[in-house]
Amino acid sequence: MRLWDFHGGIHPEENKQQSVQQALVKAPLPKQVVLPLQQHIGAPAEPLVSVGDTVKTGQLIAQADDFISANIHASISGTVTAIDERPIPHASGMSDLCIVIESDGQDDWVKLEPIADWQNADSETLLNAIARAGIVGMGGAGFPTAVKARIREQHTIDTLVINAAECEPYITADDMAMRTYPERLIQGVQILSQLVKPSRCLIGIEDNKPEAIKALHSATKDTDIDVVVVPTKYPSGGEKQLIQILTGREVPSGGLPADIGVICQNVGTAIAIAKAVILGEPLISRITTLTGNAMTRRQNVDVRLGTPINELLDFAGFNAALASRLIMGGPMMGFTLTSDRLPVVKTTNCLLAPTSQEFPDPEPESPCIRCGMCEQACPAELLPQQLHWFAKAEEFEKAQLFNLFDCIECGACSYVCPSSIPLVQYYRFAKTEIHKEQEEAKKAERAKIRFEQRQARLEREEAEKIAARNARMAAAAAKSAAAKAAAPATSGASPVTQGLAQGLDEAAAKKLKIQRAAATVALKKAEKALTEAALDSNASPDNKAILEANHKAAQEKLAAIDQQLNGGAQAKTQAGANPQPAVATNPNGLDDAALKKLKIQRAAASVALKKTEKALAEATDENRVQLEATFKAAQDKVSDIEQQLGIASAQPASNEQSVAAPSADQEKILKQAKIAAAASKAAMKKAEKALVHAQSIGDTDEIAAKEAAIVTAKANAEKAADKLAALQGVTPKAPAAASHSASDATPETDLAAKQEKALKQAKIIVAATRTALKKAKKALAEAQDSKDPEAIKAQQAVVERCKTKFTGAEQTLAQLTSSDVC
Amino acid sequence: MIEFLAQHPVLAAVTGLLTLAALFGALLGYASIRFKVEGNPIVDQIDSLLPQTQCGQCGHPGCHPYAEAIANGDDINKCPPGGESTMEALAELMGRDPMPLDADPDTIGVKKVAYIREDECIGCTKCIIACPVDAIVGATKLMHTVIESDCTGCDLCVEPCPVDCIDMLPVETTVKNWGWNRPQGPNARFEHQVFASDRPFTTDGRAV
Repeated sequence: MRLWDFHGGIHPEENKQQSVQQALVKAPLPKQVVLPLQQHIGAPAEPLVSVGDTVKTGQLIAQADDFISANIHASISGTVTAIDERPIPHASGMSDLCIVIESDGQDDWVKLEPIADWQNADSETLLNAIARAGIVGMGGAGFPTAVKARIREQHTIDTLVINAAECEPYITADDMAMRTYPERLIQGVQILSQLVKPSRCLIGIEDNKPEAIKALHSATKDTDIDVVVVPTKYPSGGEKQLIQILTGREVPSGGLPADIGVICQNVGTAIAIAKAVILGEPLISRITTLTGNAMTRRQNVDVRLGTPINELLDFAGFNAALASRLIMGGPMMGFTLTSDRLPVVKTTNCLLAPTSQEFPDPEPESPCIRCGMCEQACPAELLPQQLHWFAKAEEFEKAQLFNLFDCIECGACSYVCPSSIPLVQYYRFAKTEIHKEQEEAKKAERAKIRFEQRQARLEREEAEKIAARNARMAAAAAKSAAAKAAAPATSGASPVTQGLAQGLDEAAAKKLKIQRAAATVALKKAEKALTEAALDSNASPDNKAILEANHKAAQEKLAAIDQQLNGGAQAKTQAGANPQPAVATNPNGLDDAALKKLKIQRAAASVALKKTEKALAEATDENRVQLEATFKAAQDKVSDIEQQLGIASAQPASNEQSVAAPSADQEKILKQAKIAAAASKAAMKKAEKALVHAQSIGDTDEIAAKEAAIVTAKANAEKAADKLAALQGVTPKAPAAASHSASDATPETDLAAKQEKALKQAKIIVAATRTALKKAKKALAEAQDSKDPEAIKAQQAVVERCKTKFTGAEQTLAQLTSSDVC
Repeated sequence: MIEFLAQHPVLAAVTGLLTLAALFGALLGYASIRFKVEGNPIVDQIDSLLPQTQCGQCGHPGCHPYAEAIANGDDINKCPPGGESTMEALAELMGRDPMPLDADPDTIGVKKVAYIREDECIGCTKCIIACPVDAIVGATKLMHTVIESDCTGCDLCVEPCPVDCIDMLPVETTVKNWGWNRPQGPNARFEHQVFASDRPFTTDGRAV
């Protein structure tokens, strides 16, 4: 069979003989095992037991937590005493999570589940068995075997290579395994062949293991497995290098053997697979070489995983005084352990305890002399010197360009370096830094994405908020617009009509107020005229009567307006929401105002009366009659006002009976009118009495005066009677008005009231003129009796004037009555 | 024309060069329009050098804004989380001189991660709002915790915490993130040695 060669390589002293002199033995069962949860490449296993649990040998205690992960089993029976951080065999000398089992000394196994008919089992069953057993690459890297065995799912494999080269000095674990269990190895290879289905199956073994070669040859006699003996050269046991030797194919840079159709498995792994499938035995032990001149019993042992190294060293007769250091792995690729209180793990193929003679302290690093020997030695065909410079200068990108990651860290370059430069350490440092940078870049990218996504989210949320707010505002605007639009049609109808009514009411009230102001002005004018007339002694009695009538009319008008205004106000308040209090309170207020007004009027009237009295006292006989009339008129006025005042002051009391008020008011007015009538009658009688008395005395002046007084008293009486009659006429209507309520002070009723007033006034005027006429006629008769031509003439003129006045008054009355009828 | 040019080689050369100039000018003008690059590509290059902690220690709201600022002439030494290496990378990219970092030298380059003392957390969510990369989980009145793998160590959550229960702890070295150290180099063993001195020496070559 043709063999190829790989570039470079070295031939260090093998030192394998020391540990193959004695047969493979089982190491004594440890009292305690420490099983790290990560003894493999990939994710750490997840513990299935807790402190205090009793476990049996082979029991699954930690389960693979990821696709690339491996199960961990109890390697002894006993009790789980701790699951915590313990120092692990790692180049860093750090601690990691471990399951600690205290042995019960029984080594009581769980019931194993072997696959009896493994030759015919399907690949899934076999892969599951391998995965269940927690098998990882035993050569050193510790890649989960089940994952590697699935390679066929993605790649076409034509060659299965079993790595039996074991090129590293001192290590003889695979050699002893092949010598001891060649059949088991062949079974394992057959299982792998079943899984991978390669066209050929090669066992590559270095020619420095003749016994193992012999054993394999005999074991593979009836199989299609080729045992290929390769020349000894370090590092022919490197995966890529062995593949190159056996197949001539080179694994591409950054690639995997599967890329060139090859899969490579270690001897130890193949044996573990066979045990797992055929015996059902999980990976709980491994073969480890105990060697180095610091040990007296240099040999290979089958040791339970998790066994403390110090127990193994004790077994091997380790002499700490002699040892320069303690190395896990070989002299080329192993690492120095910081302590012997560390467990054996799945990848512990060798424990090397050399003496200082064997392994003197490394020479101090000297500057590179650019000899280029490292390049000669490099099995990966790299430029170690360049990589060294780049690593030293921390020019990692350049190092990567020079394929730093194709370095297998075999240590051949360091071995040959005349300057004792720890080249591998430089490469490891460079690799570490590059990994860190890559991790950071990854993390930075992740952070950037997360940051951008967060920003985008915040912006989106803000936009949504604004949109929601705008929508809300738009909805509110639409709503208000709709309400505005709907106002005339629907709910707005009543407010508008109300407003309209109010507006009308207000307008009416305003109009009334204006009217009232005008009336007040008229009244004042009339009053003024009256007082002037009273003061003017030359003024004719007719004039005064006219003035009086005017004054009265103005007063009446004012009162009427006031009434209307009150009615309007009442209506307004009653149109409000709370009619009852409005009726109860408002009229009171209005009445108070009216009362005040009336009082003022009364005061003014009494002043006028006093003035008239004074004038009367000073007046001459001639004027006396006229003045007396004026005085009477003033008195009338006062009494009139007092009457009104009485009504008004009576109103508050009656108002408490609210709705009944108008009728009660009217009743009061009626009553007062009756009283007034009675009073005027009494006054008339008194005047007649006085007249009789005066006649008996014979004083003509006195008689005339008394006569006039009687006339006015009569007029008063008549007036009172008229008023009474008018009121009685109104009374029947009152209930209707009351039922309409004060609020309904409609123009009709107002008009009626006005007309009534006007009628009343007209009647009064008629009455007054009639009395004046009578008086004038009487005076004429007296004058005719006295035969005084001058007096007769004067009296005739007066009579004439009175007549015209009377007829005028009668005409007005007739008009009014006719309009009233209408 | 050709004859005229042939007789006046100087004019011919000038004409030829002018023609070429016009031709290439037109070509360049067309290319500048046809192959116009939107945005400033240097910003993205700078941004890729920045550590993306989004910490705002540079005074800009995030790494990209600082990248833009650098592109517009801002100093390159304002990124303590990036440390010396980032500054040097920026100096190289921008063709500027390296300058000392504008930060407390003790804190430069120390990777930190926020840690919430969960017993003391009152669940106020203020740190969650402050975190630029959404690396804190929790809800109102419920305990919060930091997703360590997403924390950029930017410090921004420490200030808003009303009960001061957030610590910035240096990232611990574990088996996972441990790495080989740099070898000391050929001259390391001579660092403390004195080669020529009239002072007495100790046995290992150090001056007394």
